[in-house]
Amino acid sequence: MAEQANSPTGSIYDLGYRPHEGERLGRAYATFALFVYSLRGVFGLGRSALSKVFSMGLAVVALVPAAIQLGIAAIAPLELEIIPPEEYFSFVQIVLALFCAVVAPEIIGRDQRNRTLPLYFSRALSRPDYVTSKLGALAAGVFIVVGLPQVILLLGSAVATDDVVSYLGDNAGDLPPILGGSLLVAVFFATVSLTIASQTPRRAFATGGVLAYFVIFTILGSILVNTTSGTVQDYSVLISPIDVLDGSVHWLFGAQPPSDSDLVHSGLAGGVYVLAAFAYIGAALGLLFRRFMRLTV
Amino acid sequence: MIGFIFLLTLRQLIGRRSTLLLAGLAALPVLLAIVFRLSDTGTEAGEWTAQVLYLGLVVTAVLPLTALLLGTCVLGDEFEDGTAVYLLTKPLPRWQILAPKLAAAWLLTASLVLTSTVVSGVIALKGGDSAIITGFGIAMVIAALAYCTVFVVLSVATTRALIAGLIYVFLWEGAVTGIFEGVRYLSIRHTALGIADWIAAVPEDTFDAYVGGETAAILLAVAIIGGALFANRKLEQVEVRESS
Repeated sequence: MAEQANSPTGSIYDLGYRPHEGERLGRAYATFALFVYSLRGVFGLGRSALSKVFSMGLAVVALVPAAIQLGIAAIAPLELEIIPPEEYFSFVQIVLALFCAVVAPEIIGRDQRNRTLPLYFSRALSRPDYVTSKLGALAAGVFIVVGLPQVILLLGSAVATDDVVSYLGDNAGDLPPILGGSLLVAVFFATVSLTIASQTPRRAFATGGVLAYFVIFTILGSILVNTTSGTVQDYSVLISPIDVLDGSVHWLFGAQPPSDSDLVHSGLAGGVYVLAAFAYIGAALGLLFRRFMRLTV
Repeated sequence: MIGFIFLLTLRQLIGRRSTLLLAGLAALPVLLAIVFRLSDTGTEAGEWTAQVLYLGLVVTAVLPLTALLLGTCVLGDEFEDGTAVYLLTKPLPRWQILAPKLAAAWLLTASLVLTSTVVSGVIALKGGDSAIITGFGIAMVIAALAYCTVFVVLSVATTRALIAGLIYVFLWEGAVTGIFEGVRYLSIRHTALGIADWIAAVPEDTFDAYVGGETAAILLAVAIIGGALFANRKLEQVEVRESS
């Protein structure tokens, strides 16, 4: 060392840098890690108390219909079903829209606002990986918010009856449509909300945009169904994201929608709603990935 | 100075891309009214205008969303961007900052929603039965002030005014008032409908509000004056510190 320091042309010191000798976990692990981190962020875990209040508060509100039904089931001696399983989604639809409006800008907008996106994209994680993680996190979050109350309701109703085993035997068939319907609802809400929220880094605009989309288009679809006639009437219901999902959920349960709903006014077959839901999801996915592939960071 | 802040705020609001989207929102009722006129469903025009167009779309979504986005940003954006310091350090009583900000939000909200109400109403009713349009028009302008005041209060009192406002509008006014009818007295939407019904004085078949006209007027006045006083108090308590 000493002789190097004496040389007139400068010197190179050995600072002790060493290459990483541990296991390289790679892209897949990075994607998974970002998914877990984002899923915690959906419920505000590891964030400030304020971000927990709204997301967890809305998740609790989504449990209220199940709690009411179970409370009645515990007191009333007769089997009194106020909320049939296929109707649970329509009770919590506005809560889900609010949940996505609150959470989607946090998930997809924070990295743009804090300028951390270049850090992600300069590592092993590719842009599609990033979007997949974020999308998976929000979809998983919405799946928990909409699915958990329904599973609790199913198990709770079983416990409230005299014969738990026979109740579960009779109603076990509800479980696949509960999970399938919740999955479809979750993926739909997640893709559409993230697509809207990713258009602007500003949280306020993203939140307003997501909620405005769900509220305005649902009202528009509903008004058009009740105002027009013929083929236009049948297909205008597909404008409404909530009715598309409601129709799909009823189809999955094999149940008839209530007589006063928009679904009855339009006489579309249940499978059409599922196709429409997939079309919406596909279009939103296309726009979301396109947005991130083109984004200059 | 009041006039200057007022004009400055209007310019900030009008120059934004999101205001263009709000104008698009206000155009939706007009489009629906045209669809209604073109199609022949046999629904009575007065009933459709009051219950479907106004109650279903304008009062439920267009008015609260417009007021929410404008009301929370007039002061909220200044706080978020850190420009509030330049306003608050002016040698002015705080109400002289609050008043023009609120007035600008109200003016823009009311003009967007009123235009939407009147134009769509005239198209749907073929110009006839103007009582419905007058009733709802006046109610919209008053309700716009009430909404803007409440949302300005939220933007001064909390950092998440938009989310709190959305929860108030869509969870409280949208869902809770549907289940527990008594709390409709605590809802700007239902008191505004009371005013509309009171002024329009249409038959019950065409439109009927839950809250009575006089009660609604008193409640809205309390909301507006109380809200403005509270917002002023909150704004007076804001201390200008070294920005973080």
